Amino acid sequence: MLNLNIFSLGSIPVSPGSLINGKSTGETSQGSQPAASFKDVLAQKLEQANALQKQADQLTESFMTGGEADIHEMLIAMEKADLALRETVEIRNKLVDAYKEIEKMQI
Amino acid sequence: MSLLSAMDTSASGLMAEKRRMELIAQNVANIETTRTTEGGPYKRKVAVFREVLDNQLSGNAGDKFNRAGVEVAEVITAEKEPLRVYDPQHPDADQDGYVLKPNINLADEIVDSITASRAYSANVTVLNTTKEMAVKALSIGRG
Repeated sequence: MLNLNIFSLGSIPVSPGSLINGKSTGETSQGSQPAASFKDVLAQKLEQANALQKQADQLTESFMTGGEADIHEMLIAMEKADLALRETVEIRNKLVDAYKEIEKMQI
Repeated sequence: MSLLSAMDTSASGLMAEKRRMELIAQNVANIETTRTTEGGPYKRKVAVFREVLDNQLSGNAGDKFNRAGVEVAEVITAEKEPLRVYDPQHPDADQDGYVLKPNINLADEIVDSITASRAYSANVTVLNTTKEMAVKALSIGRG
């Protein structure tokens, strides 16, 4: 599992409302509703991707063993899992990019 | 992920067309059937589609995908008079030598099967386009 705390990203609020309402990030994080941290969002996305992979696995097994699953259900589940994985990888890439950018910084 | 719910909508279309195709297969397979559980010759079965649209369209999608698409509302049995065919050798022939046979027009069934197949393909095309959109979205910022 990724340890995101090394990037200190856990404290960055990513609530889209804060951008729309024009509030500063400081206000949002101190508000009554704690904004979902990037770490939480990423964990949730990973969980979703994992669930879709599991569903695709399950449907493939069901189809292969002559179960109830239809061929299109199986293929759509696989496509969804593929998309979710790509999304996760894309987020990972952005995260690594950000890390590299900070690493290159001269202090 | 609302694009995934668009995929679910296409999936419902695929499911409905598949169901329609099953009924066409059933109709063609039973084109000569003279015995059924309810008695008499086989009667043509037709699928009736209904729109599915949950009005949970407010708020964040989250894990609750909005259910939309199509479903088979019911399977109706065509109440057409069976054909009376003269065939005295047939075990189900009446005293005058006539057999009641299903009133199914093969040409109609084949045309229906082509329609179902094309509609299925259309749903697959929409599904692939949806996926292409999602993949394109993932390439935002990659230059």
